Amino acid sequence: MNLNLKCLCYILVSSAFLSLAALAQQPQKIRVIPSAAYGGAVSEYFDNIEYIPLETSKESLFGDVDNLIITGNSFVITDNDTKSVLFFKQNGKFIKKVKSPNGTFPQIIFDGFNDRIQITYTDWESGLIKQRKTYTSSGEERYDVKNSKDEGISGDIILEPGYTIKFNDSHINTLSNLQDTIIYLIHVYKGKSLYNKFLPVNPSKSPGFCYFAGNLSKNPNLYYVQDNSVLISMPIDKSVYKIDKGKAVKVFDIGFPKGIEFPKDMLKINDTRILDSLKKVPLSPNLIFNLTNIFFDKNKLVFKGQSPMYVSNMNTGNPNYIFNFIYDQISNHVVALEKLNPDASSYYLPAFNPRDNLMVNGIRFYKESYYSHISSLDLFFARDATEDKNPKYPPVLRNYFSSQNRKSNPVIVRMKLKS
Amino acid sequence: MRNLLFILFLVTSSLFAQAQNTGPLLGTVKGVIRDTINNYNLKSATISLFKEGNQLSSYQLSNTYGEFVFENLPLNTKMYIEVSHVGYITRIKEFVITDAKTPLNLQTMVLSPGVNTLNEVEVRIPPISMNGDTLEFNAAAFKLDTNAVVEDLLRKIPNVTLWGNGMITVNGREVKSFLVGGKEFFGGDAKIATQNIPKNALEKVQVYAQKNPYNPLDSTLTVNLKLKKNKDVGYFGKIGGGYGSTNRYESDGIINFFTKKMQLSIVGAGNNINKLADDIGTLRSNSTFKGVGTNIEYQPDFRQAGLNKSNFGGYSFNYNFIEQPGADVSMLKSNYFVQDRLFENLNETETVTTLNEMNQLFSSSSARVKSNTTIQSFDNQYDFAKNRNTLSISNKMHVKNGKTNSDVKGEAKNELDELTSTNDIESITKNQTKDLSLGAKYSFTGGLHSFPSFSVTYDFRIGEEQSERNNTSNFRSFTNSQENSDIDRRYADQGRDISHEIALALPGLQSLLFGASNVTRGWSASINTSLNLSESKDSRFVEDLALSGNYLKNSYLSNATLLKSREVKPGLSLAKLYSRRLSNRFEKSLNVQFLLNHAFLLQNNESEKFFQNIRRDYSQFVPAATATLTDHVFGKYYRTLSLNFATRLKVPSLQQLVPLTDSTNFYYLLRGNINLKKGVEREIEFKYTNIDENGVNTFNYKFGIRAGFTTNKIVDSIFIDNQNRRNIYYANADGSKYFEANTILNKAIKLQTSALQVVMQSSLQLSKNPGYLNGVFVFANSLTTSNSLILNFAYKDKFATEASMNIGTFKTEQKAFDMVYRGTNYASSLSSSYNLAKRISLGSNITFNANKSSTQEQLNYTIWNANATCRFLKGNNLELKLSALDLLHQNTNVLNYAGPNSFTVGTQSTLQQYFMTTLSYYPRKFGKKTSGK
Repeated sequence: MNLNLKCLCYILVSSAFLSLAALAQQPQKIRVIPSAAYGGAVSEYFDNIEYIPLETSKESLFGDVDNLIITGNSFVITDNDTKSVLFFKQNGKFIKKVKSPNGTFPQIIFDGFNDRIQITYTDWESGLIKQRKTYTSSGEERYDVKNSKDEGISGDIILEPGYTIKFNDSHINTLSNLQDTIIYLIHVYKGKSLYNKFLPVNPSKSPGFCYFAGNLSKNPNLYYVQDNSVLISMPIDKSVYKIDKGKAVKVFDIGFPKGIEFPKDMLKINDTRILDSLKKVPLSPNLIFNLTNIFFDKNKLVFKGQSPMYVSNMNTGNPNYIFNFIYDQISNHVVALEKLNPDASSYYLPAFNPRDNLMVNGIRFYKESYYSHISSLDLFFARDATEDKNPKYPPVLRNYFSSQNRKSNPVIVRMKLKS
Repeated sequence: MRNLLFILFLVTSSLFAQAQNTGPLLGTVKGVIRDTINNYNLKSATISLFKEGNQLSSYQLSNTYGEFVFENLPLNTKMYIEVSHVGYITRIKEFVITDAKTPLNLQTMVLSPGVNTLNEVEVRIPPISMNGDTLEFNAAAFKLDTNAVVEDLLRKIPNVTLWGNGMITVNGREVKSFLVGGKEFFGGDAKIATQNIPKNALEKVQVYAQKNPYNPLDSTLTVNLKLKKNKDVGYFGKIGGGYGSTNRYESDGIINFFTKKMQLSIVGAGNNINKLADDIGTLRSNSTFKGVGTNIEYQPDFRQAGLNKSNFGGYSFNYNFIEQPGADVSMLKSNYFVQDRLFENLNETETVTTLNEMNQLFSSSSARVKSNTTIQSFDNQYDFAKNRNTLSISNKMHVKNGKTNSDVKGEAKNELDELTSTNDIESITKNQTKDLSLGAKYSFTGGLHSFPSFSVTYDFRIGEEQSERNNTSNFRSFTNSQENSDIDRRYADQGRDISHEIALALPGLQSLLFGASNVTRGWSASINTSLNLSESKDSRFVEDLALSGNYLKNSYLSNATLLKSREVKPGLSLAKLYSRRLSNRFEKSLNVQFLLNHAFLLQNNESEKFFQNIRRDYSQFVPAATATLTDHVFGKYYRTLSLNFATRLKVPSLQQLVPLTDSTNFYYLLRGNINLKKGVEREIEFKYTNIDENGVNTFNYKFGIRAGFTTNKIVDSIFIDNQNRRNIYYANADGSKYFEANTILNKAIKLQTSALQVVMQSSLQLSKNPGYLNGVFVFANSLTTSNSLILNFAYKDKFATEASMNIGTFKTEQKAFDMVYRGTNYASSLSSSYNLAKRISLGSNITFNANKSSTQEQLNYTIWNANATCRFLKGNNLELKLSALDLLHQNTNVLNYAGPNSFTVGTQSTLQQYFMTTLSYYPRKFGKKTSGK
């Protein structure tokens, strides 16, 4: 075999391998039509539904669950009404309340590898970080951890011990002077050293992306690390990448119908005048701009649509707004959590309430269990409305309804996805 | 009789209520709506219940579990439900309930995804549908008379209630905003839209709530009328005239044009039946196609003093440069209104005046007044808002021309009923005033990292006045004939006022000084400063008829003055908001604000009379404070409590300081007092409001108290002689106090097919007024109370009635002279309208009046008005109305009032019985080509 033939064979074999590899890495296309998504009784999809009332006392009283972290032995909650972080045991018993310094609000993240809950206090007015503190999951302050304003785990996703993801920003406020430079949206750090970088963006080549988005969802609580990797979606495009310390692979391409999806055409437009005029078009809160809370559970992909607008309770409760989906890889069915009806398994009480949290923060997942929360106002209202169904409440709920009232603390709901 | 009326009303109401709650046995039907293809129970599906004759009886939206239940349905009656949902094929299910004890279960009703087509199932447009979070009532689904208007449609919709006072509720909640095509319609009065727009021009009625982001249960309910395509252009109005007995007449003409961006009303009206209107809005809202019902606005006013012959005219124009205004605004408004009023009145009174413990004066007066006044007002306003900028430019012009002839004959008697003096004054006055004002306000809303917020306001006003007056006065003294006097005097006055006012507000001062730092610990500060420069130039030329028969200049009363004023009001406002909120539970806040203002006032008066050349400076710290506490428990109540404190500077006028005493009116000789000082009034006010959020049968109430005192109050110091001649001086006196309390209770009772509203109002005013009478320092205490109860009942669109009862009392007491005057006025009324047939309606309102006072026996009289209306032509555009007013011929306009040391009773001219026939035509077209009828 002469050299040319060897070269030809090498090229052919290499091409075949590369093609196979490329085929193997083809992202799966998922098309979601929210109005046609399946619904049903909550018991068709979830079982072991438990209601865990959070203890109400003068000290533990708080407003709403703005952020919820589930640890192995506690619920850690931030509440913007009382500007505090509250620790409750897994049975709802109150542990501790940590008030924020004046003029600040708290944000929390959890490092499960090191049992660290880090609280970041941010100034209401300036948006600047004022202080950081670290606690254990059971609410003990950890004085052994150095907490500087600039350093910490805040903003990071911990992939595995020693490896973290930090987010970079390519957002631009103006379309003049677009820079011809590469910005990687994800940096993987090993300790303090840059280990890898993924998802490159060039503002001069992708002005639409940088103008309308430019960055990924930065709240680490919206990501779930499974097997040392995390699923991250690119805004607008809604391509989902599986990222570990060594690589970023596009695994899903999730699409929605026109009118529900934030228009992807924006990404192809380079004419800055058109982009500028599109920026002035008013947006609807029910558009899907990005995906978060993406994780796998029992061959099912769970994900949540994110609105392009700031979403508050004002926008929720609209039956046309459907954001939370479960995609079954075997049946190819998409189920919308918003379409699940309470039934006997949930004592005819809501298992999750779109108005409270589902649309804003999505459902929580921790060690095969799903977590939601319902306000006492809604729970008592639902109890009164379903009296004629004669639900058989478990002792916890009987005690809750007899000893508490609509002003009591919210109730955590824990459930498991059916196989 | 009054009580009988009320008993009759209450019995009627309870009969209606009973008719709805008793009767044959009633049953229940229930079911579940499900989408089997997507495997879930459908919430928010619309279930419309129809009875015989395809009459929509009720509707519901399926609950979270896809369920519905209709209760209180008749047994053994064929009915059906129509189930619809966006994206699903509508389904119809017929049923008959036979058992009153066991609900009829229609089980699971499956809806299939898809679009309705005629081949699949014969369905109408569903009457009600849920589109997102908007509840929509589709007009085409409601079968009504071809001439029906939106109000008729709203009355057909279950759970929508139109109240007697104009309020609209949907499922018990009050509609706060009423729009047509997303915009305000001819001033925002819902009645203009609901009583004029034909139901056939309407595509749908949309009901939605603007939510409070912090309270899921709190929202503002809005109704928007979505017109059919091409129906958003058109016109509507009324042209009518009537003539009756005793030469009574009325005529009304109003036409309203509208397009997507423009709204224009042109009006013209005239009458001699005391129907008065001060603006186009009143005429517009009382000329609707539907008619006025029990409304008493712009109706012949039998309580009005004198007889008025009035003519009105004008236009109102509104143009939106932005078709769908949102945050950005660009809008022009222009209004012109002219009213010409001929007024005639004969007023006869008798007054008792207490001079001291021993002496009283008895005076009587007969005044005949005839005036003709023409008032024109013209105003324009342009509003603009974009991004952080708000600009408003306006101008107003007001021109008044008037001529008044008056003839007042007065006489005074002593306690022995002996005539002591008479004074007859005849006067003819012609005057003209012109006012022009220009205003501009610009506001910029800054941010933390941008230019700070501020607002600047500038107002300019110029006013001119010209008048000519001729007074003849004959005073006769029967105790001293040397004091007899006859004066024939002519006045020519001219005046011109100019003022400039500029105000600057700089909020967020703490951010400007300290940035985002919390040095101020949550306190916010703002500067509010105003500067007013004004100049008032007046001249008066007075002539007296001399014995020679010529008019000679009166050098004392002829004068020219120039008053220059400068007022600077620097102010600093400090405020802090304490708030506490627990999501889904409650929201409480306390807002405290202190206004530290100081008023510097300089007045310089130049006059031809040396004693009127005065310059006075006033300087006074005029602080104010407010504290407002709100307590909102979601789904239960919303309460506000406020406490306000205010300080006001009271400055004596030139007429109080150094008037030129005109001796024409011997019974009122103004003397003045150059030594008057400034007065300072301090007031404290407490208000409490409760809004019930329970949804049905709400009970709301308000309660308020206001109290104040004035130091150095400028009070009258009157010297009255035994011939009733009064010399009025002024003096400063302490001890002036007042106290006021008022409460309003409002209870709504929603019955199945009718609605009852009960309103109770009470008020009380107490005051202690110091003064001098013939050199003696006296206090006059007065107490006035007013109580009213109003019951409003409506039964579908057939019958509406309003019953009210009012009791007013007053008492004046002068302890120094052991003198007390008391009076009580009662008035009970019943106003009803009944639709006898499709085109015929009857109306009646009857008022029983009773007046009683210390010096007069009880006087009773009843005013009863009735009318019958019939509509003609295909579109009901022609209306014939027969009215009988003051059927019992008892109207007497009684005067009954008390002064600090006097009490007056009497009568005045008023409108009395007449009969009238009125013919009106309602031109209307909605849409470019086809008639809106």
